[in-house]
Amino acid sequence: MNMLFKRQRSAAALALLVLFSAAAITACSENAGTDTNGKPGDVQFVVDTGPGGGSDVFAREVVKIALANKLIDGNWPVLNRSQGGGLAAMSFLKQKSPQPDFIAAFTSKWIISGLNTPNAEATVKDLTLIAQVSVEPQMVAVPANSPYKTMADFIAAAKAKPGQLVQVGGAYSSVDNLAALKIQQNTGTKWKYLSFADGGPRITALLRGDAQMMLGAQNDFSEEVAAGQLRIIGVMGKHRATKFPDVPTFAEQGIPETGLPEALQWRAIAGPANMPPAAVTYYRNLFSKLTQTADWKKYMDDEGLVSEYVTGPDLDKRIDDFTASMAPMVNLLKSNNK
Amino acid sequence: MSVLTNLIDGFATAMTVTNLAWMIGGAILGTLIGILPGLGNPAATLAILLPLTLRLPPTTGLIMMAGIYHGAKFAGATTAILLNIPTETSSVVLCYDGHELAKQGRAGPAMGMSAISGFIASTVGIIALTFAAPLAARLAVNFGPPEFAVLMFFGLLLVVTLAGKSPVKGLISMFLGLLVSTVGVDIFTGTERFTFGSVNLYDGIEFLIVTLGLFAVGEVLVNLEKVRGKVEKLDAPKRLRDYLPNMADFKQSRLAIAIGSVVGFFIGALPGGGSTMASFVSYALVKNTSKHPERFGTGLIEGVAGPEAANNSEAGGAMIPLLSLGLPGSASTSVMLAALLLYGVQPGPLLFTNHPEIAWPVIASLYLGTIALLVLNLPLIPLWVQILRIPYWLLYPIILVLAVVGAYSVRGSIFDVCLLMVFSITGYLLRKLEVPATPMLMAFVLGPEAELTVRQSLMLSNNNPMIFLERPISASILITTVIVVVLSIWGRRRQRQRAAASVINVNFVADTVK
Repeated sequence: MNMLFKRQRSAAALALLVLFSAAAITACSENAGTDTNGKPGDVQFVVDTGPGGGSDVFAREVVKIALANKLIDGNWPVLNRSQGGGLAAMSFLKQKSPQPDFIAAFTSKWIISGLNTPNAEATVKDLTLIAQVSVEPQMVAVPANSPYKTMADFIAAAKAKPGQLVQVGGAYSSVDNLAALKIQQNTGTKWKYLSFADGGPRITALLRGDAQMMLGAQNDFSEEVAAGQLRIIGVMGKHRATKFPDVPTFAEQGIPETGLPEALQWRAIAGPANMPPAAVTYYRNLFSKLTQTADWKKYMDDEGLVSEYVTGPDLDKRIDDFTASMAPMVNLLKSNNK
Repeated sequence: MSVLTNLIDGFATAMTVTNLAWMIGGAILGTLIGILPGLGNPAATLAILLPLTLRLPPTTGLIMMAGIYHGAKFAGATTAILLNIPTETSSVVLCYDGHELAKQGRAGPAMGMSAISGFIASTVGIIALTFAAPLAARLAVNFGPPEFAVLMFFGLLLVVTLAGKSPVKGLISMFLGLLVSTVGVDIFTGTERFTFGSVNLYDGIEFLIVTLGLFAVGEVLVNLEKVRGKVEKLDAPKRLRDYLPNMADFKQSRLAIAIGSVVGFFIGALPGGGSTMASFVSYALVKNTSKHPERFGTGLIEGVAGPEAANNSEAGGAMIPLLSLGLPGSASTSVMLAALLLYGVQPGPLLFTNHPEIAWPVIASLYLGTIALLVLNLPLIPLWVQILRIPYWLLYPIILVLAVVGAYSVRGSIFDVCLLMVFSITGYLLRKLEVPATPMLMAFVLGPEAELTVRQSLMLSNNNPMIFLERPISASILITTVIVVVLSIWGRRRQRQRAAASVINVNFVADTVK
């Protein structure tokens, strides 16, 4: 699902048509952003998914909260550069260096895509890192009627039946498979990984019994858990999930997490390389204020995310650490593939 | 019957004057935007208008989206019938008979039938949603990779049977389509296939690029070769009543609409099923149950009615995974899900219990959307058909401009415009070699899913192919496939014998006359 948003020449004509029709019906007016004082002008928000995809919805939500709290004057259009899981978005930003009026919502996926593609045109190193804004805790779900009550049960079963159990998830090179491979290596187990492009079929694969387990975010499962279809059996990282306080973490269950990064999935903001310092300061101020708002906190809660504003050298270190721990996992994946 | 009372409540909420006005506005916008290739498919249209609808209260906004969705779908059928340019995957199949009808001066009836059969099927879809939801929901969960794999196998076989005069040329075209569909990073292993190291090919090739090249530009190129003035122009009907389907058309299409409605509903109910598969399987079933399958592809009205019915009842079916599991069944429902998220409504199995005030009116408005479409577009058909009167010196440049703009706008990439040229030349060559282009496009659409589901199945069964026979649903689809194939071979043979017999008769008569 790769489509455009208002951006291209054709979309200009289209936007005109849409605005015209909208104006004709409601006489509502679009507030054009005209900024001075060295602030970036008409900002465009680059994302790596098509409309309706994860980062696209995230970017729109950020703009919505910023507008509602009067942190920005005009709407920031979202630019969808969806090819290659962040690769196209990174090349696009590289070409825009050092313009201050482009920012991107990037995720852990961009680093993995860079590691997976040795000849990538641009990587995260070609960006100006602005701030990390949130972390998405990862957890393991099984069908409600599954015999596995804890992650330790699942690991034990995987040990008893090597290569028989099935984990369902996204693409083979996605973060959930990488993490699973590391866990398998750490625990001396082996299970299969079933790829589906969309989220829906992954859940039905669990419900149907084709797959026994899935690694994902709270919101991938929370509704199904509430409806009594799925159960959470373990949470990655140091902290329990707020929504499932009874589910012990991997560490509590004695499952080693060596070699796994502290946060597997997170969201951060970046701009083109060599962005003027004034613009970087502007964006950092903006996102630091944004992450303090009540709207943002509610959004984080609704989405099962944890707000974590990290910037400056701390952010650089986080990104370096993440890359360092992911690199051997990507190599492990590649060697498994041969 | 709580579903029924909820649905009635939903209708009551949806049918306020404001909501209806927004829905009609949405249907008009959807049609206008859907006519432009590139913005043509309903999901893209919904996505473009998302910022606008988000300014409205949730129920009204979602109802407007339902209007847009239907408008855009109808527009897809319109371009396929009038210009032979399918701007969305589910209208590819309309090129077989819909455009043939237009060539015979019957574009109006074809478009009318598309709207009317769509309306009837939506009615069937909504009734089925009310009464058959639990059954379909169980089917939806039980439909896994092996079931999809045999369904896709069935689909690809049908591509061959639909290929027209020469099965060999149909196969060539189909394999070309399968080849093109493998381009990109394989999600199963992460391996790059035919990407030539270019990020632009990592996610594969966009449907729209292929269809615009093969159909729109390819057709223009071939016709440019002909001496100016010699290009035969399509007839626009002269009398007003020729703009709408007549009683004979309806009589001919009864069975097709019935088959399409049922098939569309059930395929729509499968997560990942979608309207393309629905329209396609419906066309094939209508053809194979027909008394004169050989005349399909020459402009039969039931070849429009069947797929269009399926295309529309699919929307009812697609609501089932949403209703029971909170999962989107097709691209369009997933954009609606994204909109729900932006409104702060968490979609999931509890959507209908926690937010009945939003969920039920949306279902009701999906149905009302088809009525709006019927009321709005039937009178407009004579107007649309006038497109056929545009002289070629004007129409061709317009098509070329729209194709280039459309190709560029899908991902905002100039690379895609170059790809468009590659596929335009392919389309031109196919026409020169008299290889049909439709099997290529069909295989391109079905290929990735077919490949992925076969590999998923074999992974689950540790490479044991018996998995396709051990699971009851996949076994029954497989058996149906075999029956259809046998019947069609038998039909072909009988037809050939009859043809041979009549040739002998003619010769005999000719000889005796001498």
